[in-house]
Amino acid sequence: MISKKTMGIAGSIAVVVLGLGYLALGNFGENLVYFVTPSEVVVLESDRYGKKMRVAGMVVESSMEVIPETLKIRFDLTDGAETIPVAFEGIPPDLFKEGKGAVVEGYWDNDGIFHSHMIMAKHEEDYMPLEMKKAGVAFETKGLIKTLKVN
Amino acid sequence: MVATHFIGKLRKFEKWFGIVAGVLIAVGLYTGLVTSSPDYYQGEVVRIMYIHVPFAQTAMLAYSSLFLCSIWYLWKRESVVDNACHAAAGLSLFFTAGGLLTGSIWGKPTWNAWWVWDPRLTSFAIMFLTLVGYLMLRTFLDDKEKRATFSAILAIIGFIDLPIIHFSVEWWRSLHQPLSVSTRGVSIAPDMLIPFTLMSFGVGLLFTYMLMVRTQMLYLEHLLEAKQGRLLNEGQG
Amino acid sequence: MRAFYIRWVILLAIFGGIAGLGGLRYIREVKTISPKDVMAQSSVAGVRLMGMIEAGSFIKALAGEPFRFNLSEKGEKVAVVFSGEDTDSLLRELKTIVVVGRWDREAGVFHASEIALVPNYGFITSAYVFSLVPLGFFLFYMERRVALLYVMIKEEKAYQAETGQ
Repeated sequence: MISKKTMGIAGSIAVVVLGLGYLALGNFGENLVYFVTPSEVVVLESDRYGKKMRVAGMVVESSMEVIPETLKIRFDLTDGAETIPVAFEGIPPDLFKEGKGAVVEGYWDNDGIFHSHMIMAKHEEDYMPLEMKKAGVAFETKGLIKTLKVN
Repeated sequence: MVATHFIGKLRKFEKWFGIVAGVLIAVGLYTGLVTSSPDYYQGEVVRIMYIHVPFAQTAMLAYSSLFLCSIWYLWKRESVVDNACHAAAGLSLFFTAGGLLTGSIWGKPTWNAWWVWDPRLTSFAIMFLTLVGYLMLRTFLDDKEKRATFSAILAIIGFIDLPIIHFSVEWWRSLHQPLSVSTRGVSIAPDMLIPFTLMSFGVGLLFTYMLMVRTQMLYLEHLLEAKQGRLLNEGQG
Repeated sequence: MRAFYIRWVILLAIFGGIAGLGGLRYIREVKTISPKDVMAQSSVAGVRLMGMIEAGSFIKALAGEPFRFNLSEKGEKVAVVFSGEDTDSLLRELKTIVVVGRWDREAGVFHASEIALVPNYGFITSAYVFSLVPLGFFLFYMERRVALLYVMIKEEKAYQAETGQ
């Protein structure tokens, strides 16, 4: 006979073991790929075309093109090695800027364009006031491209 | 008696931790909310970081103290040490929840997402689950010795998650930004480093103070229960 | 117990004061006004105006020329001239931004010297409220419980505190 108490003890241990087991057994970091990179997108097999995925990269400087009187935006996303064009429709977040990191959600298709309806902005680890940035101060950081890759 | 001596020490020194923490947090909040500049990239939202980072760091400090305390318990087997472990776990859960909540509120305006299954966020959520499991285990085990031993072992096993939380942003691809204070140096401007530092030390010391208060609380509750005869049977065990 | 409550009243006063100063800073430096309100004013400098860049009104600046666009909110719109650089690519149609500058009533034009993101003070306030208020309650009830426990223990004579010996 299993008492309520034993169930509780088993349950609470299970909560911890499941969480930690996920860390230990699942090659946690590699399995938990929240996004892929443009280099991985361009070599996708055709059966992944049209499937929902997320791609991270840097928005290429002066690649952003706003299509007037629509909510459509086009820009290029790069990981340093490969660059893919992205067609986005919707309201991008405030921190979506050229030269900054972004994660776009959508699908890759035959036409060689990534179609997206959702953008997330990537934040880097440096913090400074605008005046300092304008004065040209730059801190040593990991570098955006590196933070998007698996080692 | 060791326990009364220990509790006496806590009672004697707690106020200094409380006072210093209060002063640091007050000055930290003033600089963070009133005098510091907005960030060049995220604007005013950077102010959320002055509460989020200290909470998240303190959650990890709290879990570390639970870990050390659990080792101490297994070594010395003093019931007052078990009270301290129990107190550390409760506070750790509180600060972990606070870190998750403030992080989520920061993520929406910055990333455009309340939550993502990023390695940093996932490993932090696992710490939260570990603590929930720990406290659940404590409520289900009635035998005092068994409860203290089992929960100490569980806390020690759960400690594996801490280095993973810390280094997840360096090891794997993540949406969460990497460490701002690392071997690369410090990538925070002095203007923002002041509230960050004050709040980090302030909340850390506040946790130490709360740990001292909560340990006394749990010890006294236990003592009172024993005195009132409710725990007579266990007292012999 | 009286000293305990007095201490908490002092703490509340200090932290309330800091929150008040934060609020003042917000009103002074962050709060924005709408196109409707700015047009009702006579010419003023140092105004923070918030609105959405109207679709079809945005003219991309040629070299040496300022940006021109209309900021609108609830049907009211103001013509804006911005002569700086759009370093953060903030300017695009249908985006809500804040412009800082001078309202020229005679010409009916807002001369912007700065453009900025919309301040997210709602998020900032909620982050602090959701973390510090529970912290305060948690600490208050914990301290009060300990103080009461010491009183109860003393009555029960179960424990003699070592302090003051």
